[in-house]
Amino acid sequence: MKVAIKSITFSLGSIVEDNNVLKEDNPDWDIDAIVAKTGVEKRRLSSDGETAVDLAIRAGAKLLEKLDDISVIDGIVFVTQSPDYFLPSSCCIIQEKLGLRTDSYAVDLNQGCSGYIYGLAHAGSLIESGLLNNVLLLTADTYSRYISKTDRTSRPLFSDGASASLITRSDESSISDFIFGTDGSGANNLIVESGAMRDICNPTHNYTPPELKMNGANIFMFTLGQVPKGIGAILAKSGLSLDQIDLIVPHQASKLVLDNLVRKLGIKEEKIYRNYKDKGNTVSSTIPIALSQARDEGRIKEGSLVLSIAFGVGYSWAGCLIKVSH
Amino acid sequence: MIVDDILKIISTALELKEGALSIDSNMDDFESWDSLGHLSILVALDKDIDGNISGISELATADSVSKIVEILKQYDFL
Repeated sequence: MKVAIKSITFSLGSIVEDNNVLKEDNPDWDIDAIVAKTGVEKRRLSSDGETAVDLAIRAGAKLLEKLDDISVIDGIVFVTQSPDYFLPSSCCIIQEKLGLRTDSYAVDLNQGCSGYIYGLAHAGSLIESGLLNNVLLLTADTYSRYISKTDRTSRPLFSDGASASLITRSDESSISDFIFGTDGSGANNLIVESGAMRDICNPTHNYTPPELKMNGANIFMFTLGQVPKGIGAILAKSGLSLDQIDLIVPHQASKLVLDNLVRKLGIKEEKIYRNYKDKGNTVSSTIPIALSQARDEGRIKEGSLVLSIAFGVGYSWAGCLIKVSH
Repeated sequence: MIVDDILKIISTALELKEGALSIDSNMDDFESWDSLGHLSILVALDKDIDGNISGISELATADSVSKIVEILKQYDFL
């Protein structure tokens, strides 16, 4: 696609939670054993009254400060599974709060871990089709709101965060070789069952607060098979080999998933980017945050070829190649 | 690969003493065989078995040695 990611900013939940807090809340947890799998030492949590939309607005505002004229933005794509309301769409609220044009395209995209790549494909297609020129792609989630303090599978892992990316027209093909995947047979392995229509329509419905349920073993088996295959599919589509990729920036699912990805691909550690240690898993924001930090750290520079792969809740997965243009 | 090899793989993954694990053992028998321990078993099986276990989703919920062995037999790993 002749589009480029011109800028990325991000925003994290206001509260920093380290693993001492987990231990205080759950004295019987073996924190060392948990960290050996998750790799997460600190998480960011949203504070009281702070929603995913608030985090997205903060990230968006940071990006808009860099622009001479925000009226160039004619589209908003907001990826979230933590909307402010069932309706209206959160993108409408964001448009108003950021002071963006009213004659603009705006849509919410309900995807989780795979959401940034889906968002890129969506935004890029809108620009390539000629419908739009500059899209503000936002990702944000507050999964911590769905997670019980005693949930040993999910609580040590997930963080609240948001990202903002400016997607613009480009003279060269900077984002390419997309692959997508969907397998709804895995839907129940990472799910918030209560609160929405399937629950409300149930004649035996009783209100219970929304709570995330994750079957870690099933999710892990899905990633073990699908992620290397997805990377293989991107390479086959592009005609490239792993040697020609400067950096793999995967969804920061957990240390366990990335360790096994490194093993199965037979790559050296410096070929893959990780930042879950003090960021946790911020769902659809992990990849844009990782891209931004990799750039700041000099792991990628203008001209670098990045392979990005995202996978998780749904099951849903997607990946692409990104030639760093800025 | 034989059943004893599987016992060794699982035992090592769970950091058990030699001889502690048998074909009759299940998840309830060992503190280390919790949800995290089960992930360690899955990783060890994927590493040590000459083949790809990622397509065998049944292993994710196999909560006993006999179930794991039975599944691997079904897929001709034993």
